Amino acid sequence: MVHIAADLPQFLQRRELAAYEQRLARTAYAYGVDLRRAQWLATSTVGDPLMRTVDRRWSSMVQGLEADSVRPLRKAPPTALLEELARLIHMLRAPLPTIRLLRPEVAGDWPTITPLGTTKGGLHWLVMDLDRVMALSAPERTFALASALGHLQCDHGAIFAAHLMAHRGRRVGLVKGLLRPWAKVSVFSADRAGLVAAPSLEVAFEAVERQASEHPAWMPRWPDLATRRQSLEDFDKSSMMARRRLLCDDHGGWSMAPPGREEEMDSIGRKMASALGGAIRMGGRLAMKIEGYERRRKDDGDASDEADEDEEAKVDANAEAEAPEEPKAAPEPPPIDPERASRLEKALRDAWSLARCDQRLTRRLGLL
Amino acid sequence: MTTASPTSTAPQPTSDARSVLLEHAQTLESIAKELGLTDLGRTIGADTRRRLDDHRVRAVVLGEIKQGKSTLINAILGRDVLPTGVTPTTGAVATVRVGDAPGMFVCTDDDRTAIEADRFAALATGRDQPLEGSTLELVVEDGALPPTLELIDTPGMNDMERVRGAISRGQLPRADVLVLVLDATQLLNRTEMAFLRDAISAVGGLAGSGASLLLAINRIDLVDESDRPLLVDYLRREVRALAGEGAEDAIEIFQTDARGALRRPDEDSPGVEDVRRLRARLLEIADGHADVLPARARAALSRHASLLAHNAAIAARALTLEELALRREIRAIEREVLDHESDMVLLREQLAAGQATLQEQSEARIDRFRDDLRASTLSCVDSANLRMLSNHLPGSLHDAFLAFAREESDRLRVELDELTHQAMRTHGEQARRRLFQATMRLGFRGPPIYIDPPSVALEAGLVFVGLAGTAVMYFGSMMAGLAMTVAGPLATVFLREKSLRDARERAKTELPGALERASEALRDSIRRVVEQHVSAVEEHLVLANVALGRQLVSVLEQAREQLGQGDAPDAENRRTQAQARMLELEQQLYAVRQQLQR
Repeated sequence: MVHIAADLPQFLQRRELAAYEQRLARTAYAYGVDLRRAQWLATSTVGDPLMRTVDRRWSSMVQGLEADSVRPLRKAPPTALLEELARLIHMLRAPLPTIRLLRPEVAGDWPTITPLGTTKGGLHWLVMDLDRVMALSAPERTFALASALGHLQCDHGAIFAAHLMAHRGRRVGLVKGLLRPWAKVSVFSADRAGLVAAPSLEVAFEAVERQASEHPAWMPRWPDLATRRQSLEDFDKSSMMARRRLLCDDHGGWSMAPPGREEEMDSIGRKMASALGGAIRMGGRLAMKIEGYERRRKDDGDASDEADEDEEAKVDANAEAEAPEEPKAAPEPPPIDPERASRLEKALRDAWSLARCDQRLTRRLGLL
Repeated sequence: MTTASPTSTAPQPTSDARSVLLEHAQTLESIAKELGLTDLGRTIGADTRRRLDDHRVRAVVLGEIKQGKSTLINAILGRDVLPTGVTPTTGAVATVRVGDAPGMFVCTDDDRTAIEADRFAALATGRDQPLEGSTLELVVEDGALPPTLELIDTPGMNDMERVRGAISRGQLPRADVLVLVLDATQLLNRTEMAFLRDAISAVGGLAGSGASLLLAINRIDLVDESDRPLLVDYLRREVRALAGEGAEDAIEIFQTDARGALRRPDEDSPGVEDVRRLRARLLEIADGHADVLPARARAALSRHASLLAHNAAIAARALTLEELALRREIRAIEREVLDHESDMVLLREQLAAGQATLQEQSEARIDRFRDDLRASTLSCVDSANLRMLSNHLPGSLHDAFLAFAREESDRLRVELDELTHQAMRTHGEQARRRLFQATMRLGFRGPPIYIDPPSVALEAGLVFVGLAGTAVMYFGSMMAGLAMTVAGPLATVFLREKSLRDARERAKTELPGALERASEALRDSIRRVVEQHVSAVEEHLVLANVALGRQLVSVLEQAREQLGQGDAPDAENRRTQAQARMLELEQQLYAVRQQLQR
């Protein structure tokens, strides 16, 4: 019998669906100020050949990195860091990246976290200097991780990969030069993602300053600090941040998805599970998202499973059988707190629209 | 043999270090009480204070029956004070120390009664059964030992009555020096190896814990002189492997002839000389008690924190159960673990067999999955287009592996829980957490394969040919231009098909290696999880030793009490609060362990 997880076509279909969702998400235009620019780069007649040049050099770059820069895969980051990443991936609807750790001897030539990747969502890497990441304060670490995930979400991985390839002498200097205008704007989307996750402006300023102070020569030149700070201040007044501050619970359960999306995703998960014998609820971001839900449900089920195993306690089992469990009703949606709703309404009324934030930024940068 | 009077002005641990250790002890004590382990809490506090305030190094003498443990102690003391001989075997723990009023005593927690020599001999050899929880104490006159040293004689670890072995195990965590007496004619058998592993684990390891392991190869006079270096080399090698890295300095080997040393203390034979050397080494360790004992207190606290963490994990899982299931587990522990003393050797064998079976079955499933996935992927590759091959195939392979890993980890969790259940009739959260972590790490490993997209040079060249053809058509030959304009796209179609074929070939070539690498990562991850889990269960068994059953029942009873009646209106709320509190306790224990190991 073929194992259900070995049936590749279902995963291919889901990947296609995820890519389609990603394209749709871009139209929502949450924090990515340059999503359309990045999309043009990946799909247009002129941009595609440019980026494909980078993609075609990916394998050889990875070989080179494994030989001299990144640690073997056996060394994994601490679980707490991975859990933090999983939370941020869920929150920002970001792709699941491959994590690679830098060797200490070369870590000085790299930023604390470097997002790399290929175009069109093929591969996403986060290359980290674990010592520096763990030395950051918790809020700054959240900002740094979120901004790196923001880069990946907005398809900036290939831009940084092009710069790294140029630095490592892989003859993509021309491509790197052509990508300069994209590289210049990319940091604003990432800063916004960091602020969404952090979500304190002070933390964001500190993190941005630290990032600017440890900027390696091969990375694209970032815009000056004042512009980045101004952009963050503008975004901090946006309706996105107003919602983020008011709707986020203590466990980081809030995510970029529009209201009702959570339930929809869970429902899709359940339908797929029942259709395929409960075996394919896993994999990728969906698995990360429903992890907590699934765990709770399984743990609840433990008691009844183990109760069946004990043959010697039949008397108790009979007692249990006498009081059969009533079928559980569908969980009711949590009631809306009127005070919270009115606070949200007021905050949204006072907040800036994203279009206003973007317009101020693009005018300041002199972009079309 | 006599010893100079000890100085009362021996260096003390600095007050800062002392207060930090006492603070940690207090934290652990309160956590133990909160988990329902009041006795353990009391032991933690008492052990720490004893080490920091009594300034006495405890050297526990261990070994199988009739190896000469009591004889060796007599030889170290230079007098025949403990019963030895052809028949007598030690049946109870006996502490030997110096004091102002020499004599023999039976001690309990709050009482100390003087007894006659005959009664002491009857109790020490097991002819009479001492009261439960009592120990024997032999106080010798000043000079036989320094006041900073206690020698503890224990029953043989392979004694027919397993209780005696368990009593010896109970002494292990309180030991500062382990003196393992081995028979030179049958060195380090399986029981001794297992016991030594437990002993090292029970003292918190030998590296940096302040504990020393002194191995006495007794009856060395029965071994030919030429064979002795071979024996020592073999023993050193085996014990090093067992004790792990960084433990070399804490291990010393002595080739003793205890009987000869007792009968002819002034003889110059190597066996008698090594008894003198062993005594001198013990005195030296006792002299350095100001360094040894705080380190021992730290290691013991760390060990207690580990034990509490195991119990907290059991409580965390118990808090997810319904009252009925919890009651059944308590009954099962009372029936199986409390009533029958755990046989560590048997349990260890069971665990090892279970571990081997689990790994074997899991590896077979992984191999089958890899083969199925390879077949499925190859059929997909044959029908996939370029975009699918380079953009979606790598990620989909990763998703498939993750899906399998998640399912496999669910299955393994049940199997590991079952294995744990066999050993202690209940189980904790560890298997689920470890598997969750392992799966999460696999999630961040990324796709095993990447298929390069086709080159852009040809396509760009052909577009150029098409454009040039259009120009030629306008400004030159109509026919040549037309041919160029049509040939460009046609050739593009042809070359795209070729690129696709090349990409498919590349995918087929790279696929087996990529799948093998990903399978190996999965295998490795699962192997590590199973190993870690089994060694954690073993650690729990060793740390809890004879108190395992009582501790488990206490923890589960406490959880039951916290949950209260399942149909009470605030039952769910109480459960949530208790679970949150347990999480806090576990985090606190983790922090304490980190600080103690720093």
